[in-house]
Amino acid sequence: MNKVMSNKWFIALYILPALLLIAVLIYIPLVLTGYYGLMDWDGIGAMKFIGLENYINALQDEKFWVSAKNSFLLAFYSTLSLAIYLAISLILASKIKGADLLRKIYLIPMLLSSVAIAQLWIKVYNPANGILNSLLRGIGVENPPVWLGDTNIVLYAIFIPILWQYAGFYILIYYAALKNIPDSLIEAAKIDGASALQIAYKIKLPLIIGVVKVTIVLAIVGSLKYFDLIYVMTGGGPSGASEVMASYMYKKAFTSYDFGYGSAIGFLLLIITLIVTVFIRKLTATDDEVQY
Amino acid sequence: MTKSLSKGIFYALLVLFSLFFLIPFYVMVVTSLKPFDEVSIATMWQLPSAINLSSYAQAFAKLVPNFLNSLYIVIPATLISALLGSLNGYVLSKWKFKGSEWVFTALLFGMFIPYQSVLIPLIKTIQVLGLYNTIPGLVLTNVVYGIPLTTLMFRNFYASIPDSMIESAQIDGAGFIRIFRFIIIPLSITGFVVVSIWQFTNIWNEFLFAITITGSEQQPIMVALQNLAGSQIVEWNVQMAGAILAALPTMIVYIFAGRYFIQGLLAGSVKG
Repeated sequence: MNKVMSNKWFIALYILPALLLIAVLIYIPLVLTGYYGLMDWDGIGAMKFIGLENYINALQDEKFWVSAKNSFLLAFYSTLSLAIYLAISLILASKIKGADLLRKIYLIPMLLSSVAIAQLWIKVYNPANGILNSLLRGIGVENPPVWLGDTNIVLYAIFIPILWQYAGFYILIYYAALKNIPDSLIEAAKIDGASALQIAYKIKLPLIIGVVKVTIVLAIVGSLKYFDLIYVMTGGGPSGASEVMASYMYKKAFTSYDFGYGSAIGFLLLIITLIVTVFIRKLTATDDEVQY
Repeated sequence: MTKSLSKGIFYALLVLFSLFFLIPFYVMVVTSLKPFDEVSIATMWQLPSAINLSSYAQAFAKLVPNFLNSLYIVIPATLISALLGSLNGYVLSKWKFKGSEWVFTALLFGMFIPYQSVLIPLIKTIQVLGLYNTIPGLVLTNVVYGIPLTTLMFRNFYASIPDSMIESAQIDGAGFIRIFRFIIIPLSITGFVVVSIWQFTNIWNEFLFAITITGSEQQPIMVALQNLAGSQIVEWNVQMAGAILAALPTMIVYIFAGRYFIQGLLAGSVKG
Protein backbone atom coordinates (compact mmCIF):
# COMPACT_ATOMS: atom_id res chain seq x y z
CA MET A 1 0.00 0.00 0.00
CA ASN A 2 2.84 2.38 0.85
CA LYS A 3 4.12 2.78 -2.66
CA VAL A 4 0.78 4.05 -3.84
CA MET A 5 0.25 6.09 -0.71
CA SER A 6 2.93 8.50 -1.92
CA ASN A 7 0.65 9.35 -4.81
CA LYS A 8 -2.16 10.54 -2.60
CA TRP A 9 -2.07 14.11 -3.75
CA PHE A 10 -2.22 12.88 -7.27
CA ILE A 11 -5.27 10.79 -6.36
CA ALA A 12 -6.91 13.83 -4.80
CA LEU A 13 -6.91 15.40 -8.26
CA TYR A 14 -9.72 13.05 -9.23
CA ILE A 15 -11.97 14.90 -6.84
CA LEU A 16 -11.04 18.24 -8.34
CA PRO A 17 -13.70 18.33 -11.09
CA ALA A 18 -16.49 17.90 -8.55
CA LEU A 19 -14.93 20.41 -6.18
CA LEU A 20 -14.49 22.96 -8.96
CA LEU A 21 -18.09 22.57 -10.12
CA ILE A 22 -19.32 22.97 -6.56
CA ALA A 23 -17.09 25.97 -5.97
CA VAL A 24 -18.27 27.74 -9.13
CA LEU A 25 -21.97 26.90 -8.90
CA ILE A 26 -22.58 26.69 -5.15
CA TYR A 27 -19.95 28.48 -3.06
CA ILE A 28 -19.29 31.49 -5.26
CA PRO A 29 -23.02 32.10 -5.79
CA LEU A 30 -23.55 31.96 -2.02
CA VAL A 31 -21.01 34.73 -1.50
CA LEU A 32 -22.32 36.68 -4.49
CA THR A 33 -25.86 36.58 -3.08
CA GLY A 34 -24.58 38.35 0.00
CA TYR A 35 -22.78 40.84 -2.23
CA TYR A 36 -25.75 41.50 -4.54
CA GLY A 37 -27.72 42.19 -1.38
CA LEU A 38 -25.65 45.38 -1.08
CA MET A 39 -26.85 46.58 -4.47
CA ASP A 40 -29.78 48.39 -5.93
CA TRP A 41 -30.37 46.27 -9.00
CA ASP A 42 -33.31 45.43 -11.25
CA GLY A 43 -31.60 42.40 -12.74
CA ILE A 44 -30.95 44.00 -16.12
CA GLY A 45 -29.43 47.45 -15.68
CA ALA A 46 -26.29 48.47 -13.82
CA MET A 47 -25.90 47.69 -10.13
CA LYS A 48 -25.65 50.54 -7.71
CA PHE A 49 -23.91 50.04 -4.38
CA ILE A 50 -26.20 51.09 -1.53
CA GLY A 51 -24.48 49.51 1.46
CA LEU A 52 -26.58 47.69 3.98
CA GLU A 53 -29.82 49.40 2.97
CA ASN A 54 -31.47 46.22 1.64
CA TYR A 55 -30.58 44.27 4.75
CA ILE A 56 -31.81 47.01 7.06
CA ASN A 57 -35.01 47.31 5.05
CA ALA A 58 -35.53 43.57 5.18
CA LEU A 59 -35.12 43.51 8.94
CA GLN A 60 -37.75 46.24 9.18
CA ASP A 61 -40.00 44.67 6.58
CA GLU A 62 -43.10 43.34 8.27
CA LYS A 63 -43.83 41.04 5.33
CA PHE A 64 -40.42 39.45 5.67
CA TRP A 65 -41.06 38.73 9.35
CA VAL A 66 -44.48 37.30 8.56
CA SER A 67 -42.85 35.00 6.02
CA ALA A 68 -40.18 34.01 8.58
CA LYS A 69 -42.88 33.34 11.17
CA ASN A 70 -44.77 31.16 8.69
CA SER A 71 -41.60 29.23 7.84
CA PHE A 72 -40.98 28.55 11.51
CA LEU A 73 -44.63 27.58 12.03
CA LEU A 74 -44.26 25.04 9.22
CA ALA A 75 -41.09 23.73 10.85
CA PHE A 76 -42.91 23.46 14.19
CA TYR A 77 -45.90 21.58 12.78
CA SER A 78 -43.66 19.35 10.67
CA THR A 79 -41.76 18.37 13.80
CA LEU A 80 -44.98 17.74 15.74
CA SER A 81 -46.34 15.58 12.95
CA LEU A 82 -43.32 13.30 13.32
CA ALA A 83 -45.03 11.95 16.45
CA ILE A 84 -47.98 10.77 14.34
CA TYR A 85 -45.67 9.09 11.87
CA LEU A 86 -43.78 7.44 14.70
CA ALA A 87 -47.00 6.12 16.23
CA ILE A 88 -48.13 4.75 12.88
CA SER A 89 -44.74 3.13 12.28
CA LEU A 90 -44.86 1.51 15.72
CA ILE A 91 -48.22 -0.04 14.86
CA LEU A 92 -47.06 -1.05 11.37
CA ALA A 93 -43.89 -2.67 12.69
CA SER A 94 -45.72 -4.65 15.36
CA LYS A 95 -46.14 -7.57 12.95
CA ILE A 96 -49.48 -6.46 11.70
CA LYS A 97 -50.98 -8.11 8.62
CA GLY A 98 -50.85 -6.00 5.47
CA ALA A 99 -48.16 -3.71 6.86
CA ASP A 100 -46.21 -3.80 3.62
CA LEU A 101 -49.21 -2.86 1.51
CA LEU A 102 -50.17 0.00 3.84
CA ARG A 103 -46.62 1.29 3.84
CA LYS A 104 -46.65 1.27 0.04
CA ILE A 105 -49.90 3.22 -0.02
CA TYR A 106 -48.41 5.87 2.25
CA LEU A 107 -45.52 6.23 -0.22
CA ILE A 108 -47.70 7.01 -3.27
CA PRO A 109 -47.37 10.80 -2.93
CA MET A 110 -43.56 10.51 -2.96
CA LEU A 111 -43.86 9.53 -6.61
CA LEU A 112 -45.82 12.60 -7.58
CA SER A 113 -44.08 15.89 -8.14
CA SER A 114 -44.86 18.88 -5.96
CA VAL A 115 -46.53 20.49 -8.95
CA ALA A 116 -48.91 17.56 -9.43
CA ILE A 117 -49.62 17.37 -5.70
CA ALA A 118 -50.29 21.10 -5.57
CA GLN A 119 -52.74 20.93 -8.45
CA LEU A 120 -54.52 17.95 -6.98
CA TRP A 121 -54.96 19.73 -3.66
CA ILE A 122 -56.08 22.95 -5.31
CA LYS A 123 -58.98 20.85 -6.57
CA VAL A 124 -59.48 19.26 -3.17
CA TYR A 125 -59.78 22.73 -1.63
CA ASN A 126 -61.77 24.42 -4.38
CA PRO A 127 -64.48 26.22 -2.39
CA ALA A 128 -67.22 25.80 -4.98
CA ASN A 129 -66.71 22.29 -6.36
CA GLY A 130 -63.77 20.79 -4.53
CA ILE A 131 -63.65 17.31 -3.03
CA LEU A 132 -63.50 18.53 0.53
CA ASN A 133 -66.37 20.99 0.43
CA SER A 134 -68.61 18.61 -1.49
CA LEU A 135 -67.97 16.10 1.31
CA LEU A 136 -68.70 18.74 3.95
CA ARG A 137 -71.91 19.85 2.23
CA GLY A 138 -72.84 16.18 1.96
CA ILE A 139 -72.79 15.89 5.75
CA GLY A 140 -74.75 19.09 6.17
CA VAL A 141 -72.16 21.84 6.65
CA GLU A 142 -73.80 24.89 5.13
CA ASN A 143 -70.96 27.35 4.73
CA PRO A 144 -67.76 25.35 4.42
CA PRO A 145 -64.54 27.38 4.58
CA VAL A 146 -62.89 28.79 1.49
CA TRP A 147 -59.62 27.12 2.61
CA LEU A 148 -56.90 28.62 0.42
CA GLY A 149 -58.78 31.93 0.28
CA ASP A 150 -59.01 32.41 4.03
CA THR A 151 -56.04 34.19 5.61
CA ASN A 152 -56.65 32.45 8.95
CA ILE A 153 -56.75 28.95 7.52
CA VAL A 154 -54.53 29.00 4.46
CA LEU A 155 -51.25 28.05 6.15
CA TYR A 156 -52.85 25.03 7.83
CA ALA A 157 -54.62 24.13 4.59
CA ILE A 158 -51.23 24.06 2.87
CA PHE A 159 -49.68 22.08 5.67
CA ILE A 160 -52.03 19.13 5.04
CA PRO A 161 -50.73 18.40 1.50
CA ILE A 162 -47.17 18.86 2.79
CA LEU A 163 -47.96 16.18 5.34
CA TRP A 164 -49.58 14.10 2.59
CA GLN A 165 -46.41 14.45 0.52
CA TYR A 166 -43.84 13.52 3.17
CA ALA A 167 -45.61 11.23 5.67
CA GLY A 168 -44.73 8.08 3.72
CA PHE A 169 -41.08 9.06 3.68
CA TYR A 170 -40.82 9.46 7.44
CA ILE A 171 -42.91 6.36 8.10
CA LEU A 172 -40.58 4.41 5.85
CA ILE A 173 -37.54 5.62 7.79
CA TYR A 174 -39.06 4.81 11.19
CA TYR A 175 -40.41 1.48 9.98
CA ALA A 176 -36.97 0.44 8.67
CA ALA A 177 -35.33 1.47 11.94
CA LEU A 178 -37.92 -0.40 14.02
CA LYS A 179 -37.50 -3.50 11.89
CA ASN A 180 -33.81 -3.50 12.77
CA ILE A 181 -34.53 -4.01 16.47
CA PRO A 182 -33.78 -7.64 17.29
CA ASP A 183 -36.89 -9.67 18.15
CA SER A 184 -35.10 -11.21 21.12
CA LEU A 185 -35.10 -7.86 22.92
CA ILE A 186 -38.85 -7.48 22.54
CA GLU A 187 -39.50 -11.11 23.51
CA ALA A 188 -37.39 -10.74 26.64
CA ALA A 189 -39.34 -7.65 27.66
CA LYS A 190 -42.63 -9.46 27.07
CA ILE A 191 -41.54 -12.32 29.29
CA ASP A 192 -40.72 -9.77 31.98
CA GLY A 193 -44.33 -8.64 31.70
CA ALA A 194 -43.86 -5.33 29.90
CA SER A 195 -46.98 -3.95 28.19
CA ALA A 196 -46.98 -3.00 24.50
CA LEU A 197 -46.91 0.66 25.46
CA GLN A 198 -44.00 0.14 27.83
CA ILE A 199 -42.10 -1.75 25.16
CA ALA A 200 -42.70 1.03 22.67
CA TYR A 201 -41.71 3.78 25.05
CA LYS A 202 -38.93 2.18 27.05
CA ILE A 203 -37.27 -0.11 24.52
CA LYS A 204 -38.13 0.73 20.93
CA LEU A 205 -38.01 4.50 21.16
CA PRO A 206 -34.59 4.71 22.90
CA LEU A 207 -33.19 2.28 20.34
CA ILE A 208 -34.21 4.40 17.36
CA ILE A 209 -33.69 7.79 18.98
CA GLY A 210 -30.72 8.48 16.68
CA VAL A 211 -32.96 8.11 13.64
CA VAL A 212 -35.67 10.23 15.25
CA LYS A 213 -33.16 13.02 15.81
CA VAL A 214 -32.08 12.89 12.19
CA THR A 215 -35.69 13.19 11.05
CA ILE A 216 -36.18 16.18 13.33
CA VAL A 217 -33.25 17.92 11.62
CA LEU A 218 -34.62 16.96 8.20
CA ALA A 219 -38.12 18.19 9.02
CA ILE A 220 -36.99 21.53 10.41
CA VAL A 221 -34.36 22.34 7.81
CA GLY A 222 -36.65 21.11 5.02
CA SER A 223 -39.50 23.32 6.26
CA LEU A 224 -37.37 26.45 6.43
CA LYS A 225 -36.45 26.01 2.75
CA TYR A 226 -39.94 24.97 1.68
CA PHE A 227 -41.12 26.51 -1.58
CA ASP A 228 -42.74 24.34 -4.26
CA LEU A 229 -46.25 23.61 -2.97
CA ILE A 230 -46.73 27.11 -1.62
CA TYR A 231 -45.61 28.74 -4.84
CA VAL A 232 -47.98 26.63 -6.95
CA MET A 233 -50.97 26.57 -4.59
CA THR A 234 -51.21 30.16 -3.37
CA GLY A 235 -48.10 32.04 -4.46
CA GLY A 236 -47.89 33.15 -0.82
CA GLY A 237 -51.38 34.65 -0.76
CA PRO A 238 -53.99 35.67 0.09
CA SER A 239 -52.31 38.93 1.11
CA GLY A 240 -49.15 37.21 2.32
CA ALA A 241 -50.91 34.85 4.74
CA SER A 242 -49.09 31.79 3.38
CA GLU A 243 -45.86 33.53 2.42
CA VAL A 244 -42.69 31.75 3.53
CA MET A 245 -39.12 33.06 3.32
CA ALA A 246 -38.30 31.16 0.13
CA SER A 247 -41.44 32.31 -1.69
CA TYR A 248 -40.96 35.90 -0.51
CA MET A 249 -37.42 35.93 -1.90
CA TYR A 250 -38.71 34.57 -5.20
CA LYS A 251 -41.49 37.13 -5.36
CA LYS A 252 -39.19 40.09 -4.64
CA ALA A 253 -36.62 39.02 -7.23
CA PHE A 254 -38.64 37.49 -10.03
CA THR A 255 -41.98 39.26 -9.75
CA SER A 256 -41.00 42.70 -8.46
CA TYR A 257 -37.61 42.62 -10.25
CA ASP A 258 -35.91 43.89 -7.13
CA PHE A 259 -32.90 41.59 -7.39
CA GLY A 260 -30.86 43.45 -4.78
CA TYR A 261 -33.59 43.11 -2.17
CA GLY A 262 -34.29 39.51 -3.26
CA SER A 263 -30.61 38.71 -2.80
CA ALA A 264 -30.61 40.24 0.66
CA ILE A 265 -33.59 38.06 1.64
CA GLY A 266 -31.94 35.01 0.09
CA PHE A 267 -28.83 35.69 2.13
CA LEU A 268 -30.83 36.18 5.34
CA LEU A 269 -32.62 32.91 4.58
CA LEU A 270 -29.23 31.22 4.30
CA ILE A 271 -28.01 32.64 7.59
CA ILE A 272 -31.21 31.72 9.41
CA THR A 273 -31.16 28.18 7.99
CA LEU A 274 -27.51 27.67 8.91
CA ILE A 275 -27.97 28.98 12.45
CA VAL A 276 -31.00 26.77 12.99
CA THR A 277 -29.22 23.75 11.48
CA VAL A 278 -26.22 24.15 13.74
CA PHE A 279 -28.44 24.80 16.75
CA ILE A 280 -30.69 21.78 16.12
CA ARG A 281 -27.75 19.50 15.47
CA LYS A 282 -26.10 20.60 18.72
CA LEU A 283 -29.37 20.02 20.49
CA THR A 284 -29.81 16.55 19.03
CA ALA A 285 -26.15 15.52 19.04
CA THR A 286 -25.54 11.90 19.99
CA ASP A 287 -22.65 9.48 19.92
CA ASP A 288 -24.60 7.35 17.47
CA GLU A 289 -23.16 6.42 14.15
CA VAL A 290 -25.58 8.64 12.30
CA GLN A 291 -24.07 10.28 9.29
CA TYR A 292 -25.57 13.70 9.47
CA MET B 1 -60.13 -9.53 24.67
CA THR B 2 -58.54 -6.13 25.22
CA LYS B 3 -55.72 -7.19 22.98
CA SER B 4 -57.95 -7.94 20.02
CA LEU B 5 -59.88 -4.76 20.71
CA SER B 6 -56.75 -2.62 20.61
CA LYS B 7 -55.67 -4.43 17.49
CA GLY B 8 -59.02 -3.56 15.94
CA ILE B 9 -58.56 0.10 16.83
CA PHE B 10 -55.05 0.06 15.41
CA TYR B 11 -56.31 -1.38 12.15
CA ALA B 12 -59.05 1.20 11.94
CA LEU B 13 -56.45 3.94 12.45
CA LEU B 14 -54.15 2.59 9.79
CA VAL B 15 -56.93 2.14 7.28
CA LEU B 16 -58.27 5.64 7.95
CA PHE B 17 -54.79 6.98 7.45
CA SER B 18 -54.43 5.12 4.17
CA LEU B 19 -57.79 6.52 2.99
CA PHE B 20 -56.30 9.97 3.49
CA PHE B 21 -53.65 8.97 0.93
CA LEU B 22 -55.92 7.07 -1.40
CA ILE B 23 -58.96 9.34 -1.74
CA PRO B 24 -57.24 12.28 -3.46
CA PHE B 25 -55.29 9.86 -5.60
CA TYR B 26 -58.46 7.94 -6.48
CA VAL B 27 -60.28 11.10 -7.53
CA MET B 28 -57.25 12.10 -9.58
CA VAL B 29 -57.16 8.82 -11.50
CA VAL B 30 -60.92 8.54 -11.94
CA THR B 31 -61.22 12.12 -13.16
CA SER B 32 -58.45 11.67 -15.67
CA LEU B 33 -60.37 8.78 -17.25
CA LYS B 34 -63.56 10.75 -17.80
CA PRO B 35 -64.62 12.89 -20.74
CA PHE B 36 -65.23 16.52 -19.79
CA ASP B 37 -69.03 16.32 -19.76
CA GLU B 38 -68.88 13.61 -17.09
CA VAL B 39 -66.75 15.69 -14.73
CA SER B 40 -69.02 17.21 -12.12
CA ILE B 41 -69.34 17.40 -8.35
CA ALA B 42 -72.26 15.03 -8.31
CA THR B 43 -70.38 12.24 -10.05
CA MET B 44 -66.93 13.00 -8.71
CA TRP B 45 -66.77 9.76 -6.75
CA GLN B 46 -68.16 7.52 -9.46
CA LEU B 47 -66.09 5.45 -11.79
CA PRO B 48 -66.28 6.67 -15.40
CA SER B 49 -69.16 5.13 -17.37
CA ALA B 50 -66.56 3.96 -19.86
CA ILE B 51 -62.81 4.41 -19.80
CA ASN B 52 -62.16 7.48 -21.89
CA LEU B 53 -58.63 8.38 -22.81
CA SER B 54 -59.43 11.63 -24.59
CA SER B 55 -58.09 13.71 -21.71
CA TYR B 56 -54.83 11.77 -21.89
CA ALA B 57 -54.65 12.42 -25.61
CA GLN B 58 -55.16 16.15 -25.02
CA ALA B 59 -52.65 16.30 -22.18
CA PHE B 60 -50.17 14.24 -24.13
CA ALA B 61 -50.38 16.53 -27.15
CA LYS B 62 -49.72 19.55 -24.95
CA LEU B 63 -46.98 18.04 -22.81
CA VAL B 64 -45.00 15.81 -25.14
CA PRO B 65 -42.29 18.34 -26.15
CA ASN B 66 -41.66 19.12 -22.49
CA PHE B 67 -41.76 15.47 -21.56
CA LEU B 68 -38.93 14.95 -24.05
CA ASN B 69 -37.06 17.98 -22.68
CA SER B 70 -37.23 16.39 -19.25
CA LEU B 71 -35.81 13.15 -20.58
CA TYR B 72 -32.97 15.04 -22.27
CA ILE B 73 -32.23 16.72 -18.94
CA VAL B 74 -32.75 13.83 -16.56
CA ILE B 75 -30.84 11.08 -18.35
CA PRO B 76 -27.46 12.83 -18.75
CA ALA B 77 -27.78 14.61 -15.39
CA THR B 78 -28.49 11.33 -13.60
CA LEU B 79 -25.63 9.48 -15.28
CA ILE B 80 -23.05 12.24 -14.79
CA SER B 81 -23.95 12.95 -11.17
CA ALA B 82 -23.91 9.23 -10.36
CA LEU B 83 -20.49 8.79 -11.98
CA LEU B 84 -19.02 11.83 -10.25
CA GLY B 85 -20.52 10.72 -6.94
CA SER B 86 -19.06 7.27 -7.40
CA LEU B 87 -15.59 8.65 -8.18
CA ASN B 88 -15.77 11.00 -5.17
CA GLY B 89 -17.04 8.25 -2.92
CA TYR B 90 -14.25 5.95 -4.07
CA VAL B 91 -11.53 8.51 -3.36
CA LEU B 92 -13.04 9.61 -0.06
CA SER B 93 -13.51 6.10 1.29
CA LYS B 94 -10.58 4.16 -0.14
CA TRP B 95 -7.90 6.77 -0.84
CA LYS B 96 -8.17 9.03 2.15
CA PHE B 97 -5.62 11.82 2.14
CA LYS B 98 -4.78 14.61 4.51
CA GLY B 99 -7.81 16.87 4.49
CA SER B 100 -10.11 14.38 2.77
CA GLU B 101 -12.67 14.66 5.58
CA TRP B 102 -12.62 18.39 5.07
CA VAL B 103 -13.19 17.92 1.34
CA PHE B 104 -16.07 15.58 2.11
CA THR B 105 -17.72 18.18 4.33
CA ALA B 106 -17.18 20.83 1.67
CA LEU B 107 -18.87 18.60 -0.90
CA LEU B 108 -21.82 17.85 1.39
CA PHE B 109 -22.53 21.43 2.35
CA GLY B 110 -24.58 22.04 -0.79
CA MET B 111 -27.23 19.68 0.57
CA PHE B 112 -28.20 21.96 3.41
CA ILE B 113 -28.50 25.32 1.70
CA PRO B 114 -31.79 26.80 0.53
CA TYR B 115 -31.62 27.15 -3.24
CA GLN B 116 -33.10 30.63 -3.04
CA SER B 117 -29.79 31.69 -1.47
CA VAL B 118 -27.83 30.92 -4.63
CA LEU B 119 -30.46 31.39 -7.29
CA ILE B 120 -29.69 34.85 -8.67
CA PRO B 121 -25.89 34.48 -9.00
CA LEU B 122 -26.40 30.93 -10.25
CA ILE B 123 -28.61 32.17 -13.07
CA LYS B 124 -26.02 34.86 -13.85
CA THR B 125 -23.23 32.30 -13.99
CA ILE B 126 -25.31 30.08 -16.25
CA GLN B 127 -25.90 33.13 -18.48
CA VAL B 128 -22.18 33.92 -18.60
CA LEU B 129 -21.51 30.32 -19.63
CA GLY B 130 -23.99 30.81 -22.46
CA LEU B 131 -26.23 28.09 -21.05
CA TYR B 132 -29.21 30.16 -19.94
CA ASN B 133 -32.49 28.85 -21.32
CA THR B 134 -30.83 25.69 -22.60
CA ILE B 135 -31.14 22.06 -21.70
CA PRO B 136 -27.38 21.73 -20.98
CA GLY B 137 -27.79 24.58 -18.49
CA LEU B 138 -30.32 22.58 -16.49
CA VAL B 139 -28.24 19.41 -16.85
CA LEU B 140 -25.22 21.21 -15.40
CA THR B 141 -27.21 22.69 -12.51
CA ASN B 142 -28.84 19.39 -11.61
CA VAL B 143 -25.50 17.58 -11.80
CA VAL B 144 -23.81 20.03 -9.46
CA TYR B 145 -26.64 20.11 -6.94
CA GLY B 146 -26.81 16.31 -7.09
CA ILE B 147 -23.12 15.78 -6.28
CA PRO B 148 -23.44 16.19 -2.48
CA LEU B 149 -25.99 13.43 -2.18
CA THR B 150 -24.48 11.04 -4.71
CA THR B 151 -21.09 11.45 -3.03
CA LEU B 152 -22.58 10.74 0.39
CA MET B 153 -24.46 7.69 -0.85
CA PHE B 154 -21.50 6.17 -2.69
CA ARG B 155 -19.07 6.90 0.11
CA ASN B 156 -21.29 5.05 2.55
CA PHE B 157 -21.79 2.29 0.04
CA TYR B 158 -18.04 1.84 -0.51
CA ALA B 159 -17.34 1.83 3.21
CA SER B 160 -18.74 -1.71 3.17
CA ILE B 161 -16.22 -2.91 0.55
CA PRO B 162 -13.28 -4.31 2.55
CA ASP B 163 -9.98 -2.42 2.22
CA SER B 164 -8.16 -5.76 1.97
CA MET B 165 -9.69 -6.21 -1.47
CA ILE B 166 -8.17 -2.95 -2.68
CA GLU B 167 -4.84 -3.82 -1.09
CA SER B 168 -4.58 -7.22 -2.74
CA ALA B 169 -5.47 -5.69 -6.09
CA GLN B 170 -2.64 -3.23 -5.56
CA ILE B 171 -0.22 -6.04 -4.79
CA ASP B 172 -1.27 -7.54 -8.11
CA GLY B 173 -0.18 -4.28 -9.68
CA ALA B 174 -3.54 -2.61 -10.28
CA GLY B 175 -3.62 1.17 -9.98
CA PHE B 176 -6.25 3.71 -8.99
CA ILE B 177 -8.15 3.62 -12.27
CA ARG B 178 -7.95 -0.12 -12.82
CA ILE B 179 -9.26 -0.81 -9.32
CA PHE B 180 -12.11 1.64 -9.89
CA ARG B 181 -12.95 0.20 -13.26
CA PHE B 182 -12.61 -3.53 -12.53
CA ILE B 183 -13.39 -3.86 -8.82
CA ILE B 184 -15.30 -0.90 -7.49
CA ILE B 185 -17.75 -0.31 -10.35
CA PRO B 186 -18.69 -3.99 -10.78
CA LEU B 187 -19.22 -4.28 -7.03
CA SER B 188 -21.43 -1.22 -6.92
CA ILE B 189 -24.04 -1.98 -9.56
CA THR B 190 -26.71 -1.94 -6.85
CA GLY B 191 -25.32 1.35 -5.64
CA PHE B 192 -25.61 2.78 -9.14
CA VAL B 193 -29.19 1.57 -9.46
CA VAL B 194 -30.18 3.07 -6.11
CA VAL B 195 -28.42 6.39 -6.71
CA SER B 196 -29.69 6.66 -10.29
CA ILE B 197 -33.29 6.05 -9.27
CA TRP B 198 -32.94 8.63 -6.54
CA GLN B 199 -31.42 11.20 -8.86
CA PHE B 200 -33.90 10.43 -11.63
CA THR B 201 -36.86 11.02 -9.32
CA ASN B 202 -35.40 14.19 -7.82
CA ILE B 203 -34.41 15.78 -11.10
CA TRP B 204 -37.63 14.74 -12.84
CA ASN B 205 -39.68 16.44 -10.12
CA GLU B 206 -37.37 19.44 -9.66
CA PHE B 207 -39.19 22.73 -10.03
CA LEU B 208 -37.31 25.86 -8.85
CA PHE B 209 -34.32 25.61 -11.21
CA ALA B 210 -36.66 24.53 -13.99
CA ILE B 211 -38.81 27.67 -13.81
CA THR B 212 -35.90 30.07 -13.41
CA ILE B 213 -33.27 28.70 -15.78
CA THR B 214 -35.45 27.87 -18.77
CA GLY B 215 -38.05 29.74 -20.77
CA SER B 216 -40.76 28.49 -23.10
CA GLU B 217 -39.12 26.11 -25.59
CA GLN B 218 -36.72 24.36 -23.25
CA GLN B 219 -39.03 23.94 -20.29
CA PRO B 220 -39.15 20.57 -18.62
CA ILE B 221 -42.40 18.76 -17.90
CA MET B 222 -43.10 20.17 -14.43
CA VAL B 223 -43.11 23.76 -15.65
CA ALA B 224 -45.36 22.80 -18.55
CA LEU B 225 -47.70 21.03 -16.14
CA GLN B 226 -47.85 24.16 -14.04
CA ASN B 227 -48.59 26.28 -17.11
CA LEU B 228 -51.26 23.81 -18.21
CA ALA B 229 -53.14 24.45 -14.97
CA GLY B 230 -52.57 28.18 -15.25
CA SER B 231 -54.42 28.45 -18.53
CA GLN B 232 -58.08 28.60 -17.54
CA ILE B 233 -59.40 26.88 -20.64
CA VAL B 234 -57.93 23.53 -19.69
CA GLU B 235 -60.39 21.26 -17.93
CA TRP B 236 -59.85 19.39 -14.73
CA ASN B 237 -59.80 15.97 -16.38
CA VAL B 238 -57.02 17.09 -18.73
CA GLN B 239 -55.02 18.55 -15.85
CA MET B 240 -55.27 15.36 -13.85
CA ALA B 241 -54.32 13.30 -16.90
CA GLY B 242 -51.33 15.62 -17.34
CA ALA B 243 -50.31 15.19 -13.72
CA ILE B 244 -50.46 11.40 -14.08
CA LEU B 245 -48.56 11.47 -17.38
CA ALA B 246 -45.90 13.59 -15.72
CA ALA B 247 -45.65 11.08 -12.87
CA LEU B 248 -45.50 8.06 -15.19
CA PRO B 249 -41.71 7.63 -15.33
CA THR B 250 -41.33 7.73 -11.55
CA MET B 251 -44.32 5.42 -11.12
CA ILE B 252 -42.84 2.90 -13.55
CA VAL B 253 -39.58 3.03 -11.64
CA TYR B 254 -41.45 2.46 -8.36
CA ILE B 255 -43.41 -0.48 -9.73
CA PHE B 256 -40.41 -2.26 -11.24
CA ALA B 257 -37.66 -1.23 -8.86
CA GLY B 258 -39.54 -0.27 -5.71
CA ARG B 259 -37.01 -2.02 -3.51
CA TYR B 260 -34.18 0.17 -4.86
CA PHE B 261 -36.35 3.26 -4.67
CA ILE B 262 -36.92 2.57 -0.99
CA GLN B 263 -33.23 1.83 -0.43
CA GLY B 264 -32.43 5.17 -2.01
CA LEU B 265 -34.92 7.01 0.19
CA LEU B 266 -33.32 5.46 3.24
CA ALA B 267 -29.75 5.96 2.07
CA GLY B 268 -30.46 9.54 1.12
CA SER B 269 -32.01 10.39 4.43
CA VAL B 270 -30.40 8.53 7.26
CA LYS B 271 -27.27 6.74 6.25
CA GLY B 272 -25.92 4.26 3.74
